[in-house]
Amino acid sequence: MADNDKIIDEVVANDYKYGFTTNIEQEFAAIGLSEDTVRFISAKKNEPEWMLEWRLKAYRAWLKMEQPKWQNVHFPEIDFQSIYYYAAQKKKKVINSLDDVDPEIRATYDKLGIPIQEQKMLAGVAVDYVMDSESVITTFRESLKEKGIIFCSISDAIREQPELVKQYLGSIVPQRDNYYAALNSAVFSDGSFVFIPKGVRCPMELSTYFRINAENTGQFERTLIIAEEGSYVSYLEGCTAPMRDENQLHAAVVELITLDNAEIKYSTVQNWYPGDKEGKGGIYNFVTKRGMCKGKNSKISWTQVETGSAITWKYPSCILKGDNSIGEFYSVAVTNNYQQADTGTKMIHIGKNTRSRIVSKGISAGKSQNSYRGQVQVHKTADNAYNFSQCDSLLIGDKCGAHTFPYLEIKNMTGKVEHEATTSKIGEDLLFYCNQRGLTNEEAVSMIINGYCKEVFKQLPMEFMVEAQKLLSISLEGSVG
Amino acid sequence: MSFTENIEKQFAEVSNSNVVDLRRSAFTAFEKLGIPTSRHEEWKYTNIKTKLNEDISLAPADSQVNAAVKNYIASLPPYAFRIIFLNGVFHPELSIVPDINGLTICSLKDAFTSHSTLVETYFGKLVNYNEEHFAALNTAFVNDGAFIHVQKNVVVKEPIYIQYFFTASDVNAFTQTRNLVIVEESASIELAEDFRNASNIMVQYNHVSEMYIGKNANLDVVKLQLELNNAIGIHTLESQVERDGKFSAATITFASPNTGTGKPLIRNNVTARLVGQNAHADLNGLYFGKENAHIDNHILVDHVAPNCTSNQLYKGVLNGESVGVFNGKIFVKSDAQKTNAFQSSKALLLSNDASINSKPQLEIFADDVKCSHGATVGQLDENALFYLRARGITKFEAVQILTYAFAHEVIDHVHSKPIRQFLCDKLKDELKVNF
Repeated sequence: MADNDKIIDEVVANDYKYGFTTNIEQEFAAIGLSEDTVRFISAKKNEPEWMLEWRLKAYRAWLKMEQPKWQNVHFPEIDFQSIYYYAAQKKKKVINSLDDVDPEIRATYDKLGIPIQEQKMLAGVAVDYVMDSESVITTFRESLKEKGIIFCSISDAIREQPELVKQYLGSIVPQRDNYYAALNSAVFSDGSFVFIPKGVRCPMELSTYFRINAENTGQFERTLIIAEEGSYVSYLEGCTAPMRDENQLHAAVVELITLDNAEIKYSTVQNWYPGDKEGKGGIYNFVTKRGMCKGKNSKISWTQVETGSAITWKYPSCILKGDNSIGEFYSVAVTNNYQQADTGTKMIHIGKNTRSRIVSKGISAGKSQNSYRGQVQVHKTADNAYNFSQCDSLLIGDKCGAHTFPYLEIKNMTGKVEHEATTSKIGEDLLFYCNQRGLTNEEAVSMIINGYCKEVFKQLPMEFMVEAQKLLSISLEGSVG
Repeated sequence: MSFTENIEKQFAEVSNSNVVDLRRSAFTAFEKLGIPTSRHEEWKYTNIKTKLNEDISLAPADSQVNAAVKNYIASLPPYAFRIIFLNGVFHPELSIVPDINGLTICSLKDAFTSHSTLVETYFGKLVNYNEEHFAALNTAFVNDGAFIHVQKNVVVKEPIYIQYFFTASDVNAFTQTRNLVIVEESASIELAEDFRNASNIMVQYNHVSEMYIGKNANLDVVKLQLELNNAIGIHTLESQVERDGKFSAATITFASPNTGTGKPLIRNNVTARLVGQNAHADLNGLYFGKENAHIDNHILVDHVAPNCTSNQLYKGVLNGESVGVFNGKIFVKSDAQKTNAFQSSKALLLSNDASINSKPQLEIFADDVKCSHGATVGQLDENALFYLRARGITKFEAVQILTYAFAHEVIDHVHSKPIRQFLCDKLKDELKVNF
């Protein structure tokens, strides 16, 4: 036991390894939120009139909405008037090669441990690197262009692909969907736009690294991915953020659309600053992610590894509208110290023969609270719908909590829904078995946890899997015994 | 008589001032809470506000025993011991109260004066009237019910039936009934709470039971809701189990066809709080929904003390346009290490217009625990159906046989032999199976 205490102390003392600030000149919108802020952002982005109207509509809807209170996470009320809603890098140069990139940003890459050069060569990943709301560089755009794939910042898409944006933006997450989605719709600064044309299989993993940089800048990303008939894309989103004292709000919106026979695979590794060991600081991660399987035989798969943020509150969802469509959700959520997580998914079965699968693994340590909240709806029209959900929770230490809130609503007699959940700690017998074979407690626990999460990790693309395992060990290193 | 006068009159009948104070604060709480809407998380799938009559009357309804009621009671199978309430009022002349040393059974109304110390210690202490709308209403306005006190080491072998009949003499009546059961150390008793609508008209009632299970004591309760056509019934059962105590509750609901205009609705809140080590709770339920019935089961097992175990098994069969709701919660408090809690909820949908909303829920604050829940919704196994049909059994019969097997598992958990037998027969009648 003394050993365990020591180990726990060590982890708790672990500082956030990715805490640093890059000094780049910033240009801010005036503090606080008003119609002028919305107009300012829209003007800064050179947006057409219809986009401004769209934002204002969202802003006006937001004014009438109330902050939701039902979630199982607690935080002091957010003062939306003390947040900067826009921070862009001042000098925007045309960049042709990586050498032209600001050395500070290059240094940031190095600290992240993912040298972009190497990654470019190794994985063939096109990186749309977002540094505080503004696209800095887009690699591989040319080679994607050949295939007709559009991968650009959403601001560029609004200017260059107005028809697609008009058709799909807000079609899955409407402006007035929820409080934070409305806020995002009004003030989103940038994000990614992906369009995969009919029959094209995207030849590489598309990846965006988000990074919250300026102090007091809430980050409002907007991502829109459209996969036309018979296309396929795998999209990666990974995050790290610098250490900071004041809580920062991140309210992103992600919309995915798949038409007939198309497939989108969306993977997230999230490791934002979780706050210090007293629970001070840290990111509020309030995200609306939703995909719609609009066409027949289409598929959307969400995979997430959530290790960071003071509060994680998100439910990547699938609306299974097309017949025979498939929705998947794989999640590992780790909370330590005073972190809180309320995450899960929604699977809305509308089309016939739709199938969905939910695998959620929660690990809580320290004084953290970890909740799974999921909804499975089988509508009257969804003949032969099938859902399987499994949510397991692992508790490490006696001061944390694990919660499960599944909602199953079935309105069709041919629907079949199976849900199972377990909560336990790491079995003494497992540990003993490993000890007997010469493994230390820590090695044994890390092995067992990795095995516990394997079902989710194996869904991740190769490079991400390595990073996810690294993050897991950083988040929990030694906190177990 | 005005509403407040009526309340004051009711309160005046109770001589114990502490109880009056408690009821007054419950009334204040209810004034704040009101009747819940479907925006309330616990009533999300059961919109009680639209189902209840708008002007409910809380005055005790007429409880005259007329010929029809007499005939109805005569037609029932004979029970060894029965305590009969008509529209919430105790009728000693119809009841057969056991005369056993160490067992006290009387009406709650009498107990307010004759057993005032016990009532003061136990009445209203388990229900959370500051948050639970109907428990608050009941605590403030309860008129009558059963008071049962089993003294230390007393073992009662025969089950006791507590029967509530309703006759709908006043369509607006919202009858408040309440049982208070205290089982002391190492004592044991079996109870059946039986609710019946003896008329064809819609009745509304709100029942609360508070049950205390002492050290090493044993309490078996079966809630029978078999003849409840045209009823809106809200049931709350709050129990507290001490060290080595055992509590088992089975809720059996057969919502019968409705002939009136309203929609029948049964809501069951069952809570078991395990406050002493090595306590055990067994909560089971079986519900059959037909036509436009709405059956809602809310279960909570609260593990407060370490080394306790609990088991939940709920099964539902939904036909017609019936709606089933299941919400099963397991709380494990931070001191409750070595808890073992299990929950299983299964529902069969036999009609395309039926629906089920299931919300199994775990909230765990201790690490050395084993908790799990499983929830399934589906249809009968195709292979099993085929097997039976290949042996010359009609499809209808095959469905009935498999449904019987599905439902019977819950009845197996009823400990009392006569009640189990009664339920078995009832189930066979319901499904028209003969074997």
